[in-house]
Amino acid sequence: MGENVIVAKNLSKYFNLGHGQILKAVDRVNFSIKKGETLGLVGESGCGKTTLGRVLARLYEPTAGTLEFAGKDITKMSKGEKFALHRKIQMIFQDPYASLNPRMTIGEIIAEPIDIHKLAVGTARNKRVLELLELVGLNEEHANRFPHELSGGQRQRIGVARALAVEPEFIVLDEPTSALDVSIRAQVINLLEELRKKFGLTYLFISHDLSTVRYLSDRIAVMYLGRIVEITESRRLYENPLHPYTRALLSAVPIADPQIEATRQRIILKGDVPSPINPPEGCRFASRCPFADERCRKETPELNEVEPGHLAACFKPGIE
Amino acid sequence: MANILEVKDLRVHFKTFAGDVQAVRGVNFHVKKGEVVAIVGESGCGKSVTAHTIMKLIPTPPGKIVSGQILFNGEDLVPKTQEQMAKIRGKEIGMVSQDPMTSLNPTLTIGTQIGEVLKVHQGLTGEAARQRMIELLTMVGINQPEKRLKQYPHEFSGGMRQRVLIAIALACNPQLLIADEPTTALDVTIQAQILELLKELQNKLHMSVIIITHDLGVVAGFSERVVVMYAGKVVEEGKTEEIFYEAKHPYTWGLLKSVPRLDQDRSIPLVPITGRPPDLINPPKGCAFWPRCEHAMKICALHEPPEVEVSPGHRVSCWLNADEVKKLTAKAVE
Amino acid sequence: MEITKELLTPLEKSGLEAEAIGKPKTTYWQDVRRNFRKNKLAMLGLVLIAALVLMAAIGPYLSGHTYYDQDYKMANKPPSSQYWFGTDSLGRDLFTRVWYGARISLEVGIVTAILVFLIGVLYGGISGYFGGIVDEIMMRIVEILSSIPFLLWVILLMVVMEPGLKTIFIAFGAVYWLNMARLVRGQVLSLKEQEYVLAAKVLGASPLRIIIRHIIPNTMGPIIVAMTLMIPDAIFTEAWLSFLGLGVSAPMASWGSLASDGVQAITAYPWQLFFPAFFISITMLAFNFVGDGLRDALDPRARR
Repeated sequence: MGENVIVAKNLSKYFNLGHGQILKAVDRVNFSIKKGETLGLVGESGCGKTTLGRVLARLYEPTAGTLEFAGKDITKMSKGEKFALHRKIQMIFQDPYASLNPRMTIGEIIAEPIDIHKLAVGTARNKRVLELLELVGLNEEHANRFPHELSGGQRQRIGVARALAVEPEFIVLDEPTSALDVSIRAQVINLLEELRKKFGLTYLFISHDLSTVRYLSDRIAVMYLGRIVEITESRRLYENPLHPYTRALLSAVPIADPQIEATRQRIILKGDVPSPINPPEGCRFASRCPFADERCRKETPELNEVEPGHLAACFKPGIE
Repeated sequence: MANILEVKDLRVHFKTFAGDVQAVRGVNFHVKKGEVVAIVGESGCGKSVTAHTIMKLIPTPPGKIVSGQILFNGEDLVPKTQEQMAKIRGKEIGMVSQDPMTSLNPTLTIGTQIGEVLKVHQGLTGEAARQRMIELLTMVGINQPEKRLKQYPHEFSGGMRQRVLIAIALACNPQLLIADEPTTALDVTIQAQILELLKELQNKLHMSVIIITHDLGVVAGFSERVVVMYAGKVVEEGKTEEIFYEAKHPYTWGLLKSVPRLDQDRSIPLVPITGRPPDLINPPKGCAFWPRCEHAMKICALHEPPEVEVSPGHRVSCWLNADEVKKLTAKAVE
Repeated sequence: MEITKELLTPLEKSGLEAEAIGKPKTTYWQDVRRNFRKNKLAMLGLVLIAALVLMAAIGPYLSGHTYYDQDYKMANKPPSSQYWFGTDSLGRDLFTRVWYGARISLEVGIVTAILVFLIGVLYGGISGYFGGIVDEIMMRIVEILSSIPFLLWVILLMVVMEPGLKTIFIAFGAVYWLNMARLVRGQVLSLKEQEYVLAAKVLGASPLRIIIRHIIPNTMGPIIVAMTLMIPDAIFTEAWLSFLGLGVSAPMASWGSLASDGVQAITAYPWQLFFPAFFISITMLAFNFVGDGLRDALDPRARR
C-alpha cells in the first residue's frame, strides 16, 4: 500500500427534483483510498452510499468538488483519457438478476468489455473468456448458457468476471452479496478477497451489512444523509466508535451468538431517517441524536482527526 | 407446556410445466404456548411455504397439501375449508409478512384497514373500533395515533408500515403470530426497533411467535428454539443455545461458519458451503445435502437419514448421528 | 436395510454436482412459444394467417381467370362451379380478385410494419436513451404530428402524389411510426436504469452499442406485439380508404374497393359484398388473436 488511488475533495452530487427541491445525495465528502486497500462504505437507505459509488464509477458526473484517480482530476480529463479510464475503474452490481443482459449468453457478456477495448480477437479472445470463467470458479459449460439458467451466486460471479476482463485497478462493489443466499455469500466474499490479493486490486465495498463490511474492509467510512460521519480502521471503528450514529448502528446489528445477544446493550434510535431532500442546517444527525445541543443544530461538523487515523464529524466525539 | 401448534409430516407440492416442485417434503416441528420459535433456512428451503401453509394461504392450484397434519390447539387445519380458515386467520393466528410496501392497500386509510379486521372478527364498529385502533397503534409505538388513522400508507415510512402491519396482525389478540422475514426489507436501526417491539409485545401478550428468517443474528437475539430447514425438510431442531453451540448437522455447521460476524474480522476466515441448494423437482436421493456435505458417506446418497434425538428436545436428521452408525463406528474403534 | 461398514465410508464427489446447472435449458423465446401454443385462439389465428398467405400467393392462379378479364355475358353471376365467388358487375371473377386483394392487404400490413419498425424504433430509442433536451424536442415533434388527423394526412399526400399503393405505404409509414416511437421510448426509459445497462456504461460501451445490443433486444416483446396489432389496423384503414375511393385504383382490386363496389349491389347481388367483407373480418380477427396471444405469452407474470 502506498500512494492514493482515489482522492475525493468536497465531492458532491445533487439532484434537482424541480420546484426548488434539491436532493443532496452526496454532500461535500472527503476521503481517500490507498492502493491495494478495501475501503468499506456503510450506511442505511438514503445515506448516499450507492450514489457515491456511482460517482466514483463515473456513472454520474459530480455536481461539485474534485475526484482524482492516480493523481489526476477526472473531471478535467480529455475524452480519450476518460475512455481509457474505463479500463482502470470497474463496478460490480448488487442484483444478480438485473446486472446481466437476459438476451446475451454468458460468453458474450464476458467478451463485451474485451471487444469494446479491443483487447483480443479471434481465438485469443475466446481463450481469454474461458480464462476469466475459470478465475471465478466456473467453466466452459457455462459460456453458452443464458443468465436465467444460472443461480444467483453464479450470476454474481459472472459479474465479477466481466469486471475483471479489462484488468482494472479499482473496483466499486455495490452491495455485491446482499441479494444472495446466506450460504452463497461466503463463496463470493472469499472469491473477491482472493482476486484482490492476486491482482493487487483496490476496492470500495459498499454495503448496509456491517458484518460483511467488517470482514472485508481495511478501513470503513460511515455515511449518514449524504455526509461521511466517521472513518477509520475497521477494528477501531468496532472497538471504539466515536460518532453517536456509529454507536447506534453497531449496537443494532445482530450477532449470531445467543449469549452475546442476551447481554448486549442496544441503543435504540428514535424516529426515522429524515429525507435527503433540502436537508436541515447543522449536523444531519441532530434530530435523532440523544446528545444534540444548539450548536449541533446550527453548525455542520466537519470530519476531524480525533485520534491519529480516526476521523469523526461530531462536536462531541466519543460521548456516552 | 401444551403445544399450540404441531406440524406433522407435512408435504406440499407445486405443479409446474417442468414437473412437481416438492417444496415441503415431510416437515415436523411444534411450537409451545408462549414460545418464540425461529425457522431458519435459505431461499427455496420451504420455510415460507410452510408458514403460508399453516395459514392455508397457498393457492391451490398450483399448490397442494399432499399429506400431513397441522394441529392448532389439537385441531387439524389441513381439512378445513377457506371459510373455516377465515375465522381463524387474523383472529387466532396472525401473520406479518416481509414487504411492508406491498402488504397495505395504498388506496385505503390505515384506519379503514385496521378497522376491517376488527369488524370481521370482533364485530367492532364505530367509536368502540376507533378506541381499539388507537390502543393498538399506541401499543406498536406509533405516536399521534388519532392523526395517523386518517393517513394513507404512502405517508408512512417502511418501519412505521411494518408497525401498522403488526398492529393489524395483533388486533384480535391471536394466540400465534407468524412473522415471515419481518425485518428483512428494513434498515438495520429500524430492524432493531421492530425486534424490540416484537419482544415487548410477545412478553406482554403471552403470544407464541414463529419467526422466519435467514439472519442468524436475529435468530440468536430473538428466539428460544430454532428449526433449521434445508431443501424442504427439517434438518435440525433444538434450543437456540444448542443450535449455536452444539450443532450436530453439517448444514448448520456450514451456516454458522460461513456467516460474517460483526465481532470477528478476517483473522477468522469464512468457510463457504460449496455449491447451491438442490432442484426440488428432482431432489437428490437420500439426504438432500449430500452434494455439498464434507462428511458425506455412501449411505447418505442412498437413504434418507432418520431423525435422532441427541438430547431432549434436540433433534437431528443426519447419518452421522444415527444410532446404528455410532454403534458401528464404536465397534471399529474397539 | 442393512447398514454395513462399507456404506459408512466417505462418498467421493467430483465437485461438479455442486455447480451443475439444474434446470432444463430453455431460452426466453422457448418459454414464449410454449405459452403461445397453449392459447387456442392464438394458434387458430396463426393457422388462419398461414392459410391467408398461402391463398394470397396461389389463389389467383387456381381459378384459371385473371383479375381484370371482363366478360359481360357473365356479369353479376352468383357463386358457381365456374366462378367460385361469383362475378362482379363487369363480369370479372371475384375469387381471383379477392385473393388479389389479399395480396394488397398483406403488402400494406407488412410494409407498414417494417417502415414503422425502422423509423419508430430508432426515433423512440434515441429519444428515450438520451433524454433531456433531445427527448423533449423529439417528443414535441411527435405530439405535433399526432395532432394532425390521419385522414387529413392521407388526403394531403394524395393531392401531392397520385392515389395508389405507393402513396398508401408512405402515408401509413408517416403516421403509424408515431405510436411506435412513443412505445419504444417508454420501454427505453424503463430499461435505461437496469443494472446491465449501467454495467455496459461502466465498461465503456458507446451509446449506440448500448441501444442496439442491450436496449432494443429487450424491448422486442412489446414491439412485436404492437406490430402484430398494427397490421389489422393498417389493413382495415387501407380497406376503408379504398372504399372511399382514395386507395388503389381500378382495375387493381383491394378488399376495400371490392367492398365499395359490392355495397352498391347489396340487395341484388349480396355475394359481391359478402366475400371481401368476410375476409377483411377474418384477417383482422386472426391478427388480433395472434397479437393478444403474443402479449399474454410475453407477460412475465404468466411464466410458471
